[in-house]
Amino acid sequence: MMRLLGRIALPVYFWLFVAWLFVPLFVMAAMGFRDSNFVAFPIQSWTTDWYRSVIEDREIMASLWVSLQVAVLSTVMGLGIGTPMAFMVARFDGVWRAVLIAIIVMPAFIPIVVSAIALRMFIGNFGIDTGILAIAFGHAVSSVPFVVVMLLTRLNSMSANLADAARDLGADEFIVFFRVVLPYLAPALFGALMFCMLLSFEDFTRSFFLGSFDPTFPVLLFARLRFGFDPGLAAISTLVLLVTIVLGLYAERFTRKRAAPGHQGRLAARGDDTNA
Amino acid sequence: MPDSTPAIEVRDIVKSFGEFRAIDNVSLTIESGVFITLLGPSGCGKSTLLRTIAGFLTPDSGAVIVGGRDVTALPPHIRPVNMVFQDYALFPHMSVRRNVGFGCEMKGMTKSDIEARVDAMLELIRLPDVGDREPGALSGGQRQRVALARALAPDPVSLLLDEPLGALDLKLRLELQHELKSIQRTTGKTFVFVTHDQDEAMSMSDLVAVMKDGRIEQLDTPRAIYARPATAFVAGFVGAANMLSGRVVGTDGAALRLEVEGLHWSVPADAVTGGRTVATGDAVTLVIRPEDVIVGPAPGRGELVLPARARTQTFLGGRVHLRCETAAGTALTLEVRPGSVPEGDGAIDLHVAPDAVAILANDKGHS
Repeated sequence: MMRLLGRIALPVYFWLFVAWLFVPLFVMAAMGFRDSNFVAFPIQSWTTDWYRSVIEDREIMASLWVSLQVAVLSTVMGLGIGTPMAFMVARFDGVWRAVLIAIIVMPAFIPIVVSAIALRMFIGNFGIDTGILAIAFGHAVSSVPFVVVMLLTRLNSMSANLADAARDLGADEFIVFFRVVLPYLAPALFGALMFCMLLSFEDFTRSFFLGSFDPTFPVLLFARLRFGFDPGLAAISTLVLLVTIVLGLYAERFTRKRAAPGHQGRLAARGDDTNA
Repeated sequence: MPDSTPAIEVRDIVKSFGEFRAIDNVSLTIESGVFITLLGPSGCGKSTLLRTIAGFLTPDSGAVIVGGRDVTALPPHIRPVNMVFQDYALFPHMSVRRNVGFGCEMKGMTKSDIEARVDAMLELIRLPDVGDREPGALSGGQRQRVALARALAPDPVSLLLDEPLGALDLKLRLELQHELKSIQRTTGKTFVFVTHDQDEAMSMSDLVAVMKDGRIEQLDTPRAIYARPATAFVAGFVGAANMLSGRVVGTDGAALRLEVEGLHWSVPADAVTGGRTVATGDAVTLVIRPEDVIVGPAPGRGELVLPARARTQTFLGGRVHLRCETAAGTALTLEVRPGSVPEGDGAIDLHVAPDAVAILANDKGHS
């Protein structure tokens, strides 16, 4: 009896966890189709009107546009700042490396509210207005640690001999970088890009503190919530969820596909049967 | 270029990493078309020397001359030598063709020339059909061959191979040893091969340089290294060696009289290795290979006889390792035919032909 319990306990626990993750999402998705002004169960009649009204809602579309601009801008900043830093850290070893990583990763551990307020005061002193640029700055601060760590992981898996082999065959430093190192990093760069975009898109706190009168999408949703739930919020959230899942899965697949042959960089192959 | 120009010359190279002297004043001349192996334990400086020739390391002093040209100050991408790495270092995002053609592309060869060269190289390594695959889709042995083709494609003066078979299993390693040797013969290229595996060194090389502590202990043909090791280190590192201590008690012309463990032996004077000479009273070390000992009775004429006590036997199929001990307590390992020596402890006589003994002159204050 105990053995049976032991065997099924973990799977049951796992499926409870899955339900906890997904049931609210399914409920939300269902609400978007409810033909009523209020969010409630049971759903007696169904409609797609909420989706139409959401797409026709200029305020929502404008906020999505703001969010997109912020996401692109902060991603460019995050990658632009993080990539050279990853290369720099990769040159160090031992204690110095640990210290550098600790400094770079720090923003990820500072409470978001604190850093948002600090940034708000900071940009005020520099005469930067609240708005898209300010939010993008804030998001870049939070995404740089992830960029550095993701690129560093990939750089670490790269055999030092790879660049040496290119040099040995006649490539100068410029060619080594653009023909060997950068292509090798591509999967990690792409992963970091997707991560920056998603991180920026979903951020509320920084966007709220650093934003002006044009709200980002999460900030707008929050503002709407104060007037009560309506199935329209469920509809737009479902749309965002779907787009995010599709992009996420694509990024996952792309990264995996590109990363696979890279394993040969290390001494992975022992004998003829590897990768057979 | 006439063959008289050495492919590679290394002159008085010193390279230190902090306090550690990785290469301690090494000079080496490698003639064109030779397969030479730098052999030694890890930390002996063999890889450092190879990377210095390739240009990845700059020596503290000394010169590297490739094909008659001083390249000491040149970066690796300008040097006419190519390297084969232990981990292959194939570019994972390029097809096999692009990998093999990379060096030619860097040389600025035309597309059609590159294609022809790549085809020839893939033919040479007997993998004509893998050109469009990515390195990740190849087996370990195939990758190593592609790495070889990539290094050969730009037609370098010399190929530098840094333990290229180290990551492969034994069977594949033996197969690739043959292939490497045959490719070296076909192409007539100078190969500088680095390994810590003495069998690998012996089976492939025209010349072996045994290295220790950043110096070359002995540079010779594999046979000479085995039969006439210059130092105790070489004797012990290359093959199994039995070593006995002795003393020179007299020289008369072509013979050397020795006292070994209370016995009086006479060996040819040219048994002394490493170009050394010995005088009466000098301490020497005698090196006897396991297979050069015959367990008595039936001594031939003039053979050296050493009484010993048999201890244990290890059966290895076609041969048996017999451990025994001399009267003075020196442990010896002999290689004998199965069944030729009775099992168990017992007094035996060991016979050695005088010309099968190598005599090492002991350094004063040095083991």
